[in-house]
Amino acid sequence: MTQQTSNTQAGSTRNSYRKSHGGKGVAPLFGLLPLAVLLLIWQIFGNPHSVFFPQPNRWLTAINSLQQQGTLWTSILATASTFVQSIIVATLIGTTLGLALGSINWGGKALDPLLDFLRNLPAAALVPAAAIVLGTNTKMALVIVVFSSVWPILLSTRSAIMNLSPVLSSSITNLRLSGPRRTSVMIGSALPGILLGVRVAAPLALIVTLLAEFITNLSGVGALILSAQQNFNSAEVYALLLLAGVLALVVNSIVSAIEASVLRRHGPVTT
Amino acid sequence: MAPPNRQIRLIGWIAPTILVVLWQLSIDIGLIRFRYFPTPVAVARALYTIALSGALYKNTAHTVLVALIAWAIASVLGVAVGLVVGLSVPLWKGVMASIDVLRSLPIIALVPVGVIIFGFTLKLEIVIGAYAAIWPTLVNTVTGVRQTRIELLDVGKMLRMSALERLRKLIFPSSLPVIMVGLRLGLGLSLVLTVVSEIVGTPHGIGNALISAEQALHPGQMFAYILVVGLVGYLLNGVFLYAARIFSPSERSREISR
Repeated sequence: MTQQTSNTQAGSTRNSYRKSHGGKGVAPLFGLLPLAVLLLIWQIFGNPHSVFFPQPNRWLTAINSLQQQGTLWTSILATASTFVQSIIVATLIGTTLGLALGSINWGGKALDPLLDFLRNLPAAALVPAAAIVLGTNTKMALVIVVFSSVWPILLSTRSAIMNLSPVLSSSITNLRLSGPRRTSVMIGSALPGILLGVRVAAPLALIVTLLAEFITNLSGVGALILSAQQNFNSAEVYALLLLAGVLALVVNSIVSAIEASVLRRHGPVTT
Repeated sequence: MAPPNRQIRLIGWIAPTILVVLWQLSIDIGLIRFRYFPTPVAVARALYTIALSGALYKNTAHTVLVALIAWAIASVLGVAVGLVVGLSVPLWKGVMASIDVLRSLPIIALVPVGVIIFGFTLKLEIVIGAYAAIWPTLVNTVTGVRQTRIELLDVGKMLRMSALERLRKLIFPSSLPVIMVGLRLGLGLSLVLTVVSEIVGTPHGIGNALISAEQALHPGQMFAYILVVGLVGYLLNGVFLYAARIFSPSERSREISR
């Protein structure tokens, strides 16, 4: 769902930015100023004993005390390990299935309704189901995160394969490529699509990882958030929100960096 | 309905049917062995039970209603703020980075903040649902408005339209397809986040029923509710696309559903 919007948006922006009144681009960084001012006002004029809106400096104290208890880094590591494993497995499964489904031309009609239904199942509802069937463990988290984040990769790969340039598909036929060579040519040309899928899937995988930890109290950053909420430790809740934001930022920058480097090595993209 | 369309529908039922039959068989012959993994027949039976007791109707009505209220609030706010930010270039430069930071905060980490402020109340469900839905609407409205072609604005200037007229007759219609995509994404998100806040602790709706079924060790009922959440999301999406097709020309609705 999300992948397709960003696809549309990117496409239409590319075609029309020169001729639109907004112009091109990334929002300038000084746009962060309102947020910074807000935090500053909160810090200076906030009530130091507020339960609902603890001042920003108390967030930092909370993070620090988590670190001293030693739970901070082990939790981050647990979350990161689930996330990394899931995104790798999801990429492998998504690319394989996407390649297979993109190569059969009756697949669209027959499978679209099912795929549509499955990818729109909310991960939140699936977590308790997975927990009751598989038990509360890392394997369960992996299954759920892979199940939720595989769709953007699968669909993006499939549409990349279905929209291969006619020249390329007829070359594949004419050269009678088959087996591994055919697959490698197809993966190569679908690479931008695969990477687009991964870029959409990565933030989703992080959210579902946190969600699984949060709902089942499986150790990780999500479980830290849950226990902070249950203890009404509001400063810690805000601090962990900040941490989750930082994690999301890190994930996004890593994925963008990988995407850029792969595409650079792969050569100019002509889509 | 045109024949090819009906054909697609018929074909579309084949894959789910095969999947369900495989699911049933693999449990029956012992290929899959989990203590609490229900068969499709058990799920259907549980669905029948909750439908008969009225719990299904009550919970679904609650969740759908809350999600729609949250979505409506988010849509009004998102489009309004999006129009303002998209129309003014200095304002866009001044606040867009802040908006980008706020919207990329993982929403699941915000749920506990909501719990601390509102407790497990109806307000929590609505606020969380609306907060999740506002970002795609807002961001797509900004994008849509900023994509308005300069020629179109020139036409407005030439015809000496007032600013309000230009917005109503030129900018808004030309950005509508992109805004509609945002609204559609928002609808899905508000449903999901409503269910999340129910799972986390609000004592109403599908999410709560799902967790109660888990704690009572009724996997059949649990999977029945998951099926219902999936169907509700599917139907809301379908209704939205159908409405979009009625209210806007065919070319646009194709873009919305893409």
